[in-house]
Amino acid sequence: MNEFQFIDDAMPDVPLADPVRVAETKARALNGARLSRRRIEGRSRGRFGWAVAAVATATVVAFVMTVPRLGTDTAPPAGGPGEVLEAVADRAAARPEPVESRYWRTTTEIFLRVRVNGYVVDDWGRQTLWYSPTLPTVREWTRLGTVPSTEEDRAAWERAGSPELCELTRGCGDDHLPPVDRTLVMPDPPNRPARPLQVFGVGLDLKEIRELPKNPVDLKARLLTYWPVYSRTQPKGPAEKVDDWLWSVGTSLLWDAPISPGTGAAVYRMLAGLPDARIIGTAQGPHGRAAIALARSSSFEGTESRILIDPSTGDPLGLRKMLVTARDGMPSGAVTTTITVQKSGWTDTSPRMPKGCTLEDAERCVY
Amino acid sequence: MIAVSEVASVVDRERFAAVFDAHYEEIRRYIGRRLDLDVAEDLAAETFLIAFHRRGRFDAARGGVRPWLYGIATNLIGRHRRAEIRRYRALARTGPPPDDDGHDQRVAERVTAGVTVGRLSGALARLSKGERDVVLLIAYGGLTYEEVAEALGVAYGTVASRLSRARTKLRDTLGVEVC
Repeated sequence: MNEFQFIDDAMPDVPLADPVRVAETKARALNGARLSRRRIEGRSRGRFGWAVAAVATATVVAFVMTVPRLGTDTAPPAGGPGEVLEAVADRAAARPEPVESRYWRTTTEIFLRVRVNGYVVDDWGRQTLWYSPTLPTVREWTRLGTVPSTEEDRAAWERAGSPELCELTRGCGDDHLPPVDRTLVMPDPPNRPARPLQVFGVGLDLKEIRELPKNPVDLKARLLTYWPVYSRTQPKGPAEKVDDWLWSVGTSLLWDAPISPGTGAAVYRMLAGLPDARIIGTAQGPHGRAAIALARSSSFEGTESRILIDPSTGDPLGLRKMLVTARDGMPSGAVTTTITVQKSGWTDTSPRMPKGCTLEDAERCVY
Repeated sequence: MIAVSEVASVVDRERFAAVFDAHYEEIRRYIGRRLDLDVAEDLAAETFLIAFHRRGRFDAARGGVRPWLYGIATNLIGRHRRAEIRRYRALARTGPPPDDDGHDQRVAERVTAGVTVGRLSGALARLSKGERDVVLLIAYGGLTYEEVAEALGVAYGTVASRLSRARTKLRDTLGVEVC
């Protein structure tokens, strides 16, 4: 054996990459995007570095889920899936109560895989919601890229004449589509609606969010009071079942709304108790992280949705949707949607508002 | 000799996807065997972002796509030299991770000189950066000596001399003949 073969054989190998992350990296590379220096350096700082950075930062972020907490019980819980979920929900409930500040900010990275015109397209974007108790809500959308999903899809796209690949969530007809890696700011009208925070079709105000029950039975009953209004306002089509809607509302509450830790735990337990829901004790989270998952198939969407949870802290990590059966040239099990929570918490910073950006002058709202 | 289609695949924006598909996993694996995996994931992505931005400067006369990519990756690893050495020292103390039993068994079957991963890690930590780059580009990347010279932008003779020194150090540290 020569020494190079010996080293190759002897030294530890690495597991295969998460295919969703590879596809994300590929799209970013092909769109000429750059990973931010902060992200590269931040990753390599390790836990202690994060803690130092957090202390050194003047900005007050009362509750940021992406920063690992030191000194807490971080060992993954043991036992069957039900026991693991109970333990994780307990940890979620034990998180510190968030301290209200200027804005509730939630940043999620969204991946969509959709078949259009004979080929499958992958699309990435980053969304930030800035919700204030007193100021108009601001939404930001950063376009990260749109590319054919595989080489076969690229070939089909080229045969079709390489038409413009439009962002799936906004479409080619949107005049205000920002270029790749640029951000569009979308301020709400200055007159705040009575219930400014939209949680999957339900308008809520801060008081209602604060008062959401911390018990899963009471929480479900409270959410169901919103169902009649919601279902009446939906366009006619395949009927959405109330349990499908509860699943979507619960999921959205987890990162789109400043719910209390106790309500977060109640959401987990309520979702786990819905018909057809199951608990996956060992799942792959975003970027290969360990996770537990709450999974449920929706006949309405034809997908299985998995809510991914950090087993060490109880923090929600995001969502992954997969096809239940082969569809649109994609096999059963193909990932069609991922939502990855990047930040979620109160902050005293404010959204960046480009000069001259108003609701009527969206062209000035790109930075 | 590099194929014309390979040059096109690097320079042509639309065809760069083929370069990514062909080489991403091996570049990630190369970095992941030298640094912690979460850092390696970022550096593998950065390797291809840099390659994409510099694709117009890719010079086929100086070598192939693989040495070019391995060269970018090795430069990025160089920014994390201390982390790499810390990793080897940790492996030297503890050996491979506990979930690597199958791998350990495979090694145990092939290595008869009683050399452990820990001792090999200690030996790699004691190489200079230049020596380690040469050894691991060959061991993990399977590059030829000429390709290593292209990847690192050094002369063939420099590769040969670094290898000679590295071999001597490895044998001295490990106390066994491994070739």
